[in-house]
Amino acid sequence: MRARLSHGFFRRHPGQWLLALVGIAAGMAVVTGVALLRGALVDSLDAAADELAGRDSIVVRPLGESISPERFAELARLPGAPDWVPVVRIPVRVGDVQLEVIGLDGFSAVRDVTADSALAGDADRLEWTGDGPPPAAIGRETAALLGVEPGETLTLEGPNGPADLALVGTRGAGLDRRLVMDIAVAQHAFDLPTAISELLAPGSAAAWIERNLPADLQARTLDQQRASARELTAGLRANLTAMSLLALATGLFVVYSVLSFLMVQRRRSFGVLRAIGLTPGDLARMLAQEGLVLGALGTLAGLVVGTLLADLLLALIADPVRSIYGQLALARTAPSLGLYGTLFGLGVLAATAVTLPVVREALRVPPGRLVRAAEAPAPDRVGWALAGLPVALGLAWLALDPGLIAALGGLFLVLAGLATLIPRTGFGLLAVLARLAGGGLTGRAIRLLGGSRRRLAPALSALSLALALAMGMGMMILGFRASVDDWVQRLLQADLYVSATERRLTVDEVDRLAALDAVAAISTVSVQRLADQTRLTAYRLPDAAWSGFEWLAGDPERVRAGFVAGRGVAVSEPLARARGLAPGDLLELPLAGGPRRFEVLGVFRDYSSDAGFVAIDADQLTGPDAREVDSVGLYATPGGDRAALEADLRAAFGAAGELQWIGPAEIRDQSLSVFDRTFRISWAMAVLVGGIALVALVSALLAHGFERAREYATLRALGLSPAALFRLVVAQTLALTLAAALLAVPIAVVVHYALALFIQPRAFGWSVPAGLPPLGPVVVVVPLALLLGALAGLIPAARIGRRAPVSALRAG
Amino acid sequence: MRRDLLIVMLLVALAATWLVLRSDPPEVVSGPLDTTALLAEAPEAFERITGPRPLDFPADHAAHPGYRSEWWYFTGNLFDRDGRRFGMQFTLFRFGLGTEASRPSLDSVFAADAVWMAHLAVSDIENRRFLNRERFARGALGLAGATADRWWLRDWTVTRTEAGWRLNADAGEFALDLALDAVKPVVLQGDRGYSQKGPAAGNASRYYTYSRLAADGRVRIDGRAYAVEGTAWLDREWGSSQLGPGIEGWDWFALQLDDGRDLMLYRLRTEAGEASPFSAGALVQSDGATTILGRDEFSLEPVRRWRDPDGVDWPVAWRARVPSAGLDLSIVPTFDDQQWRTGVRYWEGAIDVRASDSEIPLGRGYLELSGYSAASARGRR
Repeated sequence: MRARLSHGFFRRHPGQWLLALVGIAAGMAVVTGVALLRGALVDSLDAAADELAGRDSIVVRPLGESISPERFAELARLPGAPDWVPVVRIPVRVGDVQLEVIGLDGFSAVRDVTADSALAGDADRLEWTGDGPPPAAIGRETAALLGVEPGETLTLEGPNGPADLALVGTRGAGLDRRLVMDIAVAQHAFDLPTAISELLAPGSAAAWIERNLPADLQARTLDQQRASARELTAGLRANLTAMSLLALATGLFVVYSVLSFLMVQRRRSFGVLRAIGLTPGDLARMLAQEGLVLGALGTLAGLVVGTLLADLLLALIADPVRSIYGQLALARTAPSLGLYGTLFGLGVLAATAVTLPVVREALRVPPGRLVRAAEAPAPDRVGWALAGLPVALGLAWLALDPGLIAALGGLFLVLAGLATLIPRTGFGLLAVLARLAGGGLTGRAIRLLGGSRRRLAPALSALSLALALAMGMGMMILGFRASVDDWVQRLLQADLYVSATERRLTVDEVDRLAALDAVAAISTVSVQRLADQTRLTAYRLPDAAWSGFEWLAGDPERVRAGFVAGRGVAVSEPLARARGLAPGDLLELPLAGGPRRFEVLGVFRDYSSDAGFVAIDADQLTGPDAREVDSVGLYATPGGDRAALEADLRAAFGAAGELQWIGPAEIRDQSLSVFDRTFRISWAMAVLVGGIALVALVSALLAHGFERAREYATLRALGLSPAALFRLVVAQTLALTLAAALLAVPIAVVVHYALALFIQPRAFGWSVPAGLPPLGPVVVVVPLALLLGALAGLIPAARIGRRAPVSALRAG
Repeated sequence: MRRDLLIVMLLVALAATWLVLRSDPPEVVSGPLDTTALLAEAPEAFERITGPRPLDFPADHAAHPGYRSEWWYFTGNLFDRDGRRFGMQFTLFRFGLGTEASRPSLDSVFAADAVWMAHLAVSDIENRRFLNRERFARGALGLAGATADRWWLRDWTVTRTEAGWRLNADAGEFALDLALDAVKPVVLQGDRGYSQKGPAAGNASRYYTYSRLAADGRVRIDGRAYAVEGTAWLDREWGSSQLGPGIEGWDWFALQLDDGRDLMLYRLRTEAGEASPFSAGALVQSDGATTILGRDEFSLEPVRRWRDPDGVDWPVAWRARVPSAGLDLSIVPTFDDQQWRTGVRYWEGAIDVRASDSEIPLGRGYLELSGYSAASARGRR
């Protein structure tokens, strides 16, 4: 009977029911999407090696450029050497989609190493007979991503030009966004005849490798690779998780506000049910069941939508993951039933939990109550102290614990504290609005809202918080982008930057560049990775270049003097944060000639990598290739310009065609486009949270409208014209929305600063100068919310306008 | 209400099914190589063996790149001073990837005309341990090859000496270092080295044997070295598509009798389990004089089967009869599990040769069984 009663009620109010369902589904979809994305970020980073060589295999990579074929042959011939699988990894593109071609020795040791892998059966099919294009194995997901089928020919853009490949299907699951070829065929097809990127070896060779591996090669197990991928993406994943939990919280607010409005409508029937003998226990079970069913259905829908969402989000992060972490993401996420089960449990539990307060209220309905109780004015229980406590706790956590979790947890607590203040402030704001509107219909309409204070309070909090989060994230991204722009512009002091394709510039070329007529001075940069994986950048800088550094610690003049004299090094902000370095500290660097200690002279701002790097004066480096550089900055003579430089360059090097140059404006554009790609995922999260906020807004206003139907009917019966009623309802919804949006603005600013000053530095190691928050998101979100608020008010208003007042009065 | 319930249940079932399907990991299938298939098929471009031609030594010890497959095959029985016995096998296989004309010319340091596989095994008979290691290498960067004087895959090498060969191969856990000196002259199998194995032209191989080599050197197992002596056998064979259609595998016997005679027998097995008419053998007298044996001049009969961990039965004990030579032999393995379970599945092990009536020991040798795994897989399908 209980089920029948619930069914009957929901059948009469499909709109509310659906709204609650959408609330849960939307929240769970974001949680599911992000959970899957997290997994993809960690697991897929080296899924290919995993797929090709099995879980326990070892990957040997060069610390320098690549492994020479002679070197590989020498390693293979050592007594007791493992069965190496030489691998070449070639970055390729199809249109905008970045892929990787993995060339491996599919005939030789790979059979032994990959006996248990998905590729074992494919090796023979990768043999190229010379008829047609060379074959490449493509996984199901990658083929779907590119819209191609095995059997077709695909043109890939490689580093040395395009290549046509004949696609062969494979079952390899980890081969997402990767194509597998025979190593010789891959080297041939992409014109890289000697390239070897890494060597794979079975796990059983660990001891031999440890004993025999030369110092310029590094061996890591796949587990170690996975651990470093986990570490590398910790910041990104923590951010995403926090956002998804906020989205879920907002979704749950929707559920709560819908359920509590429904509760009002059912008060009368609960009274009747109690009067005809339904016990409080029966009633509680009925409501709990409803919560459970609603939670289960909403969560299920959320899982489905979230899985689809994850694939979309993955497309957004594929590029930044490639450019920041140097790894390819999966073409599709790989959910497990275990993960689905856990998420389902979470969703049902959360949905059931928010029904508890509603159940408690239902149980307070005395038997026989047939009319709605006039709502008692909300007692002023929420004191400042109660709001202050979580804020204080949050701030304390933030201050005492320098970790990322503390930053996110602290923000959560501060927001929770602010949420309790929102209703008080919100209704205060409404009172002000009512006064501003005067004694006319609009003013009275807004004043009427005070009567629903308890109902409206949670909706107002949820709305403000969700809008604030969406706007705050938008502000942070825009603010950060402006900082990156400033940083790039400041950094790029030269008039033109010259580099070579696929190699470094020789000493001779650097000298010739410096001798060009139009060149007043040059700067040089060469980058190397040390044995401990630290990135070391050697600079030779003219005076003009020094103003490119923004020093966050250390006296600029002292840093410069010490740097040029070789007394010490400078470190970028992310490295300083990661290793806790400050001026005056000593830093040991494993240089080619042996380890050397340097004083840290200063810390400079840098957004180029979240791992950071050490800057050293180029004269400190010795060794045969120490004078070769990666790029040279040309400074034009006074009165000269870029055109003169380019003319000189073309005259001196043009025919060789091996040098390329780029101006600061293009570098800036490229940097910002990388930034925009990187932050697309953050925009997506902001839009999702904002979207759920708008769902919350519409649901709360609709529910409010339905709840007030009887009141409106009374007003109509008393002589209020439909047009006036229309105005009254729209005024109410607009006032509510405006109050929520106005409250959201200062909270958004808090969110912006929390993200910019605490969460970003702790997640990525870089800080953002604390300027005024950009107001773009406010300009977009507030009008949008007001528009939707007005629309949400129009629907109930139109319904009421159409109905005869008498029928509305009768309706329960 | 029932209708609503039905609709909701249907939607729930749909969503749940989609989620289950979405989380289904793709199926991974892999299996060992099918040796019989490798030897039965060869692209057109490869040369075929269609008749006898004079063999030229040492030039023919080197690889023959125009042919699909080729091997250098040592087996032997060794004893240390305390009478502890070991079986040994070292094989170098070459699989051609195409001929110069048929292969695309690749601009790559890994461009290769062949893939090489080496199998190294020691049967520690006292402990019933079959130690084995497989290696592959592409015929590029000097990683593997065979000249008249040297056959190698990475650091496993066989070098030609004045009296024969020297084998040096270290697999870490075990190693062989042996001088292998020819005691008898080369035996040209079949018709002057032309060994026909099927009805069609090209179903044949070039096949020669050194049926008795004096082995002297060291076996190392788990860090302990044993000075050993014994007798070994070398088989050399190459060709393209040498097996005819309908051949499922083979049983090959290399027997060295105490009276100085050596006996080689092979039975090509049809899918029906019968011996193909192209099965053959050779009886080598102690002075090297050789008699080639046709299909009707010997019989081979499985006596006992051993079941491997995959449930495949291998006939490891046999009765062999060569009436013209007065031989009725019982062939038993020194122990059962001498099976290669790597890229290629086969059984290759040290055996004892006894008189089949009295069980008196008459000699030792090696037995190779092939094609049983693939046959079993076909049977299961």
